[in-house]
Amino acid sequence: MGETTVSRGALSRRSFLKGAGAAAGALGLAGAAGMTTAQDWLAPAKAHAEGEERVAYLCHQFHCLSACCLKCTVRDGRLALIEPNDALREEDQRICLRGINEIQHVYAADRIQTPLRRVGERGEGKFEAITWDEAIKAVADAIKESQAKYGDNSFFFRKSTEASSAHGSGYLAALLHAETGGNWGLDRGQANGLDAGCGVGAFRATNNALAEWPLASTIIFLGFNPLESSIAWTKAFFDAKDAGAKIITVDTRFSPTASKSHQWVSVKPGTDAALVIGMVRAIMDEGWYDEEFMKAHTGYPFLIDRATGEVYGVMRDVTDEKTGKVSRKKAPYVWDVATGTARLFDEEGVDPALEGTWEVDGRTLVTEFSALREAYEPYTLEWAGEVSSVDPAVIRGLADDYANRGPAFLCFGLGGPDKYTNADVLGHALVLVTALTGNTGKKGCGTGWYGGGGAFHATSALQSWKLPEEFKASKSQMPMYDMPYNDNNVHVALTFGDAFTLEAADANSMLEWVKGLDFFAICDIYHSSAVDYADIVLPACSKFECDEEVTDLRDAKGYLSLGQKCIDPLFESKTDLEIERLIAAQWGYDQYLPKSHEEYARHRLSKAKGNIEGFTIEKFQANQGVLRYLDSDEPVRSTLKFATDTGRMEPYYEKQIKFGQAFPTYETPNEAYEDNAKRQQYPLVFMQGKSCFRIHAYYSASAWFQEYFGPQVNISPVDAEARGIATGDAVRITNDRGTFVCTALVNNAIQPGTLFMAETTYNHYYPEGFLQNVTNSHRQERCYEMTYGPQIPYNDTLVEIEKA
Amino acid sequence: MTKLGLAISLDRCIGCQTCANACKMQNSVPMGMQWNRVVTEGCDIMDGAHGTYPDLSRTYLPIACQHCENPACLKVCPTGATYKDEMGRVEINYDNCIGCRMCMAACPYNARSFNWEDPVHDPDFNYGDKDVPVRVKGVAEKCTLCKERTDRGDEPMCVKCCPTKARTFGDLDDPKSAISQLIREKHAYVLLEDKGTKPQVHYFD
Repeated sequence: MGETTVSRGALSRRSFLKGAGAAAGALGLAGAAGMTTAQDWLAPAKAHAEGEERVAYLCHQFHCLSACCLKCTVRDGRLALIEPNDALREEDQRICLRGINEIQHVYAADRIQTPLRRVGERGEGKFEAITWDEAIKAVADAIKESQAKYGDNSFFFRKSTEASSAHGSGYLAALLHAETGGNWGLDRGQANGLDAGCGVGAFRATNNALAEWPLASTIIFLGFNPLESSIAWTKAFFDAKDAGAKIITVDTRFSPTASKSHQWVSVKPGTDAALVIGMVRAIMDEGWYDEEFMKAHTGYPFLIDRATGEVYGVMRDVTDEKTGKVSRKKAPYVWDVATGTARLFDEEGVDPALEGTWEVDGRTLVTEFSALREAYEPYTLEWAGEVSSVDPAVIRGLADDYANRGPAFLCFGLGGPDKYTNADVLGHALVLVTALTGNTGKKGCGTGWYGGGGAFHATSALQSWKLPEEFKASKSQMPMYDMPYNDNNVHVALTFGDAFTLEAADANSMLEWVKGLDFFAICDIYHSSAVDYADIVLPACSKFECDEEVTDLRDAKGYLSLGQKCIDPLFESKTDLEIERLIAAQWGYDQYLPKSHEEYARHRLSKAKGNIEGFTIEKFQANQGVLRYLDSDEPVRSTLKFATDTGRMEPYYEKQIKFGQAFPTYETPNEAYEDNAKRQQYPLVFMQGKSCFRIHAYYSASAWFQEYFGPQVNISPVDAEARGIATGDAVRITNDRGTFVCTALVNNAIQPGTLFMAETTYNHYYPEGFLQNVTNSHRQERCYEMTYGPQIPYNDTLVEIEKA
Repeated sequence: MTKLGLAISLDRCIGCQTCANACKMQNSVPMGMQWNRVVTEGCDIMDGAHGTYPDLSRTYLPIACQHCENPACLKVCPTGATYKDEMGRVEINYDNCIGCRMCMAACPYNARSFNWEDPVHDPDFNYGDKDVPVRVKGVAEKCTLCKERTDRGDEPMCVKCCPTKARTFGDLDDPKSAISQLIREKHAYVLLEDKGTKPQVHYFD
């Protein structure tokens, strides 16, 4: 049996890629007889004892926001090992199972191998293989015909999260004057409410909290599960724990993050705003607020006219210190204690009263803080407890920990409480507690989403690629998620990655709209959920594949990474950049795009200054593809200068008086609330969130992950028993928007009355339908007037479940 | 003497399965087999929990070969294919394995896998470390403590890739090693101590 111990580099006794037949099957190829199998596309391994090895370096996924820099060992032209890139400082080296599984995922059966043309009905998934020339011409002809007939904005273009920021230049929308579908509708639920009080963009983290977490005394995660969604961030979590921070997770589900926290607070779905309002009330009642901070840095002492609710102030011209731009802004009055008069808030020597009511010129004036006390009279701790199902004593404890233990964080994620229609109210309530306690702008505290913004500014020092003036995307008619429900001029669509089922809810309505388009083409690596609806499918390659030695220049949290080619593009796939150039060439516009990744990277580095001064392609190549730009471990902290009209944190939103939301007024979610009459038919709240086996739908195709994970819904033992459901049963989930079938897991960690499913898996892995068939697409009307527009309330969904 | 082992912090283990996938990659573990797995203790599903909502607890438990000082598998191996090497690791000489599976029955940790058929690799080539031996139908296999890496002075791939640094590798015979210190300070324990197998994989809370 000597042969069994030959080294790993030697020829396997079995043929390569036996699974190729499965690839053709998954694609449902009508012309499968003529289809080349994966086995033919890959050259056989060389028959020598020691395989030829080399290493290449690149930065992995961006959309889990971990930006892991990887070292990839390639043997005989195949990915053999993926490890952390050891050119980074040891503490910055990271990887998780998602990076490792690319060993299989890159070669998965779901890869789109050649350009395809639809031969069946839309949605049926029947295709024939065609040439690149035929495919590109079909795409360009459809766009040209539509734009000639209906105008520029009849062409919709989008790169979805699965596809963007990899291998491309991203300028096709501008070159072809495309409609891009406006506000995204994702991840900015709380931000709508938070940014109005702190300045636009504040939700991205008021400081660089990952590095700051260990400096905190208390960290509260609101519906945030970073230990599963962003595994590479767990280091900061445990560093904080080691340093003595008390970590509290508020979540409906006993998530992995909840189970590793010091305290888990179980909350009813969609009621997080009531919980935070309860904290506001406790802090006010107990006097746990920071008067000095409130007077100096917030709008709490500002006066409002009791009759109209308007802020009492004068309009004046304000010059922006940086841009020199003059704009007209309201300067509020405060009540000056020393003189007993109303004076402008920023007058020299003013000593503002925090509470009180005064008569001035026939007006009754009251401070914002006093008005808040009055407005929040009904919001007792008992009320908050009843709405959220959290014990009032626990809410009071949360307020105590947040206000009194020292610097504290309130962190939210992208995929929890933000996915209900009342998320803006929650965001606004977060401004209130932050402004009461002063937990911002200093070490070890902050409020918002901590994706690692703050200190990571290298990309802003990179040169952008300039197109001639005339090339601009069309002014958007409406957000993409509105298109199935409102008249619009879109007739033709091209997406890179699946935008239609990942970036919208209520898939039956969305896909019905897609089916009604004159033409839809998709460029994708894998057979994602939207592929079956396309007329033309273009095969993109993964970021491990490239037709030149260098690939993308990317920010990697303190480092810049210049990716290197690991392997040649598999099958007939091409890089996004090459596909963009081929399409642009149909108009003669390829001349405006970078000719190669190297040219693009050289251009972006051409005026490298600041913390990336001296960075060149050659230096990247000499240092395993990475260069560190942070010269200090000290996080960049937010200041106490807020990007609001007054430069202060503003708890009172005058513009939202008409919505009854000048102060955050609790409202129930659109669908997932207790007394909804719909509950009689659809009694369960259907929630989705992240899994360690996915980034959204990405890795659905991984055979390694399929051994652990697939389309599975978690149900509480109580709800399962009532319906005769056991682990492993096929179950049907239904509401009036649609239905789908998946596998049940009976799980104690699930709150009775709710279902939890990890987002998501390509539709063809479900026995029937897929999870977006049931999700809520309600657009919250008042949010159209907010920075980020209505957000898609995926979790604001009621369903019933039964054995299939 | 050298006695290699692992110490695993269960507090830091988040059940992410990174170690399991790192092992699969490094050792070219075929489809349907796991040398290293992370179970949610006492649950029949991943990410389950103990107790009744909301009074819940959860412990993730990574399990692989415990590289016992007194290995039950070794005692029953009729050919000597399973052996204790000079670094204190339990290893298998695949050439001498006759596929009797006595070792599998004897191991109280269910750490071994068996190649009932020709091993299926997906993708179908020998990914992983080039020095890791190929296994064929009819042989047992298990965690080698990344023999090929640890022979070169590297730490096992599961240790290298663990995102929370829950795993510590080192020499249990050296009282000054980080692993020995951890075991002392954290009052680490072993699995199924009463079996008398003296595992060299230690756990602490």
